[in-house]
Amino acid sequence: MEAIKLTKTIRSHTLQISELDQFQGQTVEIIILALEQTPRTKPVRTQKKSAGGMLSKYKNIELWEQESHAWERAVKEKYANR
Amino acid sequence: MRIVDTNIIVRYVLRDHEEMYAKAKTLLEEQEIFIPLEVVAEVVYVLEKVYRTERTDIRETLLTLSDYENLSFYEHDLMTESFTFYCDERLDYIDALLCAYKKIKYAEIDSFDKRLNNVLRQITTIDADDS
Repeated sequence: MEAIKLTKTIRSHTLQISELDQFQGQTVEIIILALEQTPRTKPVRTQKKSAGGMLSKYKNIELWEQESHAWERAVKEKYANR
Repeated sequence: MRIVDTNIIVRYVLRDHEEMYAKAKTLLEEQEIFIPLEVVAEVVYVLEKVYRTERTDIRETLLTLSDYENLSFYEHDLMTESFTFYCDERLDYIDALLCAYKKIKYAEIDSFDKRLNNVLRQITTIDADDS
């Protein structure tokens, strides 16, 4: 019986598993098993780069009140060009 | 489940108000947060339409955010792919999401939008049964 064992972090409803090529055309059983993790006292941010302030060059507090109309503006612009 | 509104992310990436930035930072860097695609779309619209942010800057920033271990996004791979269409094809973000649905989820997309249909036609998908 062919079998593969993978460890992946679930981040969405979709998993992309390139290792499935060998099973093409076969009926397979899929088992999702959560691994036990060491409890963390505080979530730790492990990413190397921070998005905080990444777009600070665009900041303009005078534009704050326009934020609630952004989606509406996008729709108007999209359909104005038709 | 904890979800943040668009303005939390916008204040965080623009860092235009230090007090709000600090609160947003605590949430986005230390809490387990779920971010729906609707919020991602509104963030894109606010940054693009209000702050005239370059699309590539929006992509880089939101993809950086999506790497945070404590944040989870609905259909993460869909969101990632949507930014390719958003930047490369310069589609409206929702249209870019539809293209990502076709490419990632093999969805059939129907539209009266000619420009969207042109891009959709160029997307090749690999059907799992076609081997």
